Order: sequence, then structure tokens, then C-alpha cells
Amino acid sequence: MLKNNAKGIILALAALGALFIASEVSASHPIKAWRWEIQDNGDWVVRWNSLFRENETRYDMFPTDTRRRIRAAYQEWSGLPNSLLTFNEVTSRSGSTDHETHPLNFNVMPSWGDVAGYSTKRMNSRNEVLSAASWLNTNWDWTENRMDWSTAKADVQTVQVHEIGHPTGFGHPRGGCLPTNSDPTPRCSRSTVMGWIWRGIKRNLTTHDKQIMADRY
Amino acid sequence: MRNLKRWALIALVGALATAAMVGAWFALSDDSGNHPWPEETLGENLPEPAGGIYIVSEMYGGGPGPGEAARRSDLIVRAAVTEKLDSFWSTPDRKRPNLTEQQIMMRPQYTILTPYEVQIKSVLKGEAEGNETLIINRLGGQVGNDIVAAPEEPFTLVEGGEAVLFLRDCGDIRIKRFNDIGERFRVIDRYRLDGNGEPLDGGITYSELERIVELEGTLDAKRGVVPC
Repeated sequence: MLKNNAKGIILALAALGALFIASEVSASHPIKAWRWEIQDNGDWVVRWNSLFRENETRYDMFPTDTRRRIRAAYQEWSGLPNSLLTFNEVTSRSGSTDHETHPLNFNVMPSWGDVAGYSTKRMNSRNEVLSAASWLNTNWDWTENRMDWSTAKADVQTVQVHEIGHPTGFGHPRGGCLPTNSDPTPRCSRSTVMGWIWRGIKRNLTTHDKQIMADRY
Repeated sequence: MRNLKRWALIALVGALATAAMVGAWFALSDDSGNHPWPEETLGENLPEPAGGIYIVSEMYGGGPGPGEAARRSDLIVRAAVTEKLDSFWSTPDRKRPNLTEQQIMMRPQYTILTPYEVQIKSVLKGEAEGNETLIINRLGGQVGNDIVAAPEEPFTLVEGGEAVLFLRDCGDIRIKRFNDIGERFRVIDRYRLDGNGEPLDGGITYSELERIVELEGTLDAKRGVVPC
């Protein structure tokens, strides 16, 4: 009798645990080894160059530096401790990619045009990501050392690290984690790269971000 | 003795179960203020797939702040959101483009928009020119089985809600883009208001917002205004 009672309780607890794990697994994403590429048909660099010439702004970053920073952003997410997720650069467009980074003049966007970065991902019926892309607004000045919304200057690695987080399953913190009267510097923005608005440079995943990645992948 | 062991075992299991439930309660707790990090980033509040195209769009960086937004805006209004209208594809015929899912995802100009009718309650900058109501398109929506989800929650317009809208007047260019359902005014920034008329976002009061618009609204933008 005693054994049966104990067994029943243990089985119930195990079932609860399994249910909890299953709910976590169902929120996972099928792609663990992303093949990524910076769109490289020549147009990318030309447009980047012409942006700075047209606007006669100071040339903060040469395209090679931009690419180096974008590459570093992918590496930030790849091969984390206790995570199987990797990002592998594909150098030829002949092979298929899972994630691409593009420059984009956001004037073509039918909605907001003043945001720095944009992310799109295609989902299946199980809410799993099938492929994704990120877009950097060529109306902004991309730099290696500044993040200033009011003058549209952005640190390319900060924005790209954030954008790569979306296809891996990260959303923005609830409410965008905007400053409020009661909490002008919300802790939720400090503790993740996924804050909706961040006024400073933030190129590295936080302990919290890494913990989530370890749990998910 | 046998009873003692039995009750001890039951008490142990009970304690473990209680501890597990308490742990789960804290793990699933919604109070991010008491957490060292935001649980919200664990997942997204996405709609259920409907069997058609399913694309999620997300952005980084909101408006440029009230000062710069005031400088860039042609019209700044306090408005009430009166009606959510039918969503549509951002194509001239408002239908889904004849492209594959992957091709649509790789062309962000093709997306689903949801128009909201807003009624102007007061003008903080510019001239509304007799436009008591405006149409503001919000990114995201559902057309048939196709979904473009845009969990840009901070700036979601809600029927019955109020907001201060910082707008750039794009004239007929934008209106004609989607077969006369496009918005004439492009949103540069927006601040939702609570029931007391105070901004929910941005960490400022309404009177501060008014003061910023008054001070900055007559100045040129720090950076050239992006064309429509």
C-alpha cells in the first residue's frame, strides 16, 4: 500500500516534469546550424558606399569594417557554452542560406521608416523558424563606436547582435522594456541584448541571454 | 514503527512536491521586476498559424525621441483610436504578391498592414487642414490565412485608446501606393496615453511632451529628414 502510494506520487511528479519539458521543447526551433551570408552581389557594397557619398556625412566605416562587425555579431551567438547552436558563414550564393543580412533603404517600407534594424522570419505551422533575414537601414549612419538615435548613428554590431536574436527565438522584453516614469532605466533592458530600445553600445550577450540559449539549444 | 516510516515518507514526498510547486511558481512568475532578468525574452506572444504564409517581423530602435521626432514631424496630434479596419497586403491591388513565401519574406516592402482610423483631439504642431480623422497603418495583420505578425507591442494602436502621434506628411505619394488606402502621414514616433492622458512610454509626462514639442518643433531636424 505504502509502495503503491509513493509510486503513484513519484509517477505524477515525473509526468508533471515531462509535461514541463515537453512545453519547452515545443517552443524550440529546428535550425541548430544556421548557414548565414551577407548578401554579396556587389550591390551591397555599392549602396553602402553611395550612402555616405550622397549624404556627405563623415565616412565612419568602410564596408570591410562593416562586414567584420556583422561577422562578429554572428560569432557572438555561435558556439556558446552548453549550446549546440552554431552560425556558419556561407560564402557563395549557390548554396542555400538560412539567414541573410541585407542593407535596405527603409523608404520602401510601408510602415515605419526610422528604425535602425528589421528582422523577418518565416515560420511553419508549429511556430518553428524556417529561414530568416535581417535588414540594416541605409538611412542610418553605421559606425563602430556610436549609438545615437537622434542623429541616426548606430553601432552596426550592436544592432546586428540584436537582430540575430530574433530567429533564434528571442522576442523583445514585454512592453518593449521602454523607460517609464517609475522606472527610467529598466533592468530588463540592461540584462539582455533584446531590449527594444537601447541607447548605448551593447555587442555582447548577457549572462541571461546565454542562459536562455543553453536552455534552448 | 511501520506507521512512523510511512508518514515520514509521505511527509518527505509532500515536502518535495511543495518545493517543486513553489519553484515552478517562481519560475513562471510574471513579475520581471523581481527577477534578475526578464522572463519575457524567453518567448514571443505570437498568433496561432492559420495555414497560410506566416512571417514574423520585428524592429530594433523605436522613434528618435520626442525632441528629434518633434523636429522631423510635420504634424503632431493627440488622437483617439476609433476603429481598426481590415488588414491588407502592401501591394497596389492589396492582394498577396504572386511570389513564394521565401521571396515574400526577402522583400520587406511586401507585408500585411492594418489601418486604424484615429480622430484628432488636439494639434500640437502643424495644421490638420480639416482632417478630423486620419488613417494610420500599423505593420502586421491577417489576410485570409496569411499572417504577418509584428509584436511591436509598445506601439500597438488599440481601439478606444489614445496616443500622441508624430507624423510626417507624405502627401499623395503614400496614399496612392496602396490604391487609396495608404496613409498620407508616416509615423515617426508615437506615445500611448493612459486613462489620465499621461504617456505610458518614454518616461515623461504629457506636459513635458507638450513643452518639448513647443521648444523643438520649430527647429530643423538634426539629420536630414528621410524621404517618404
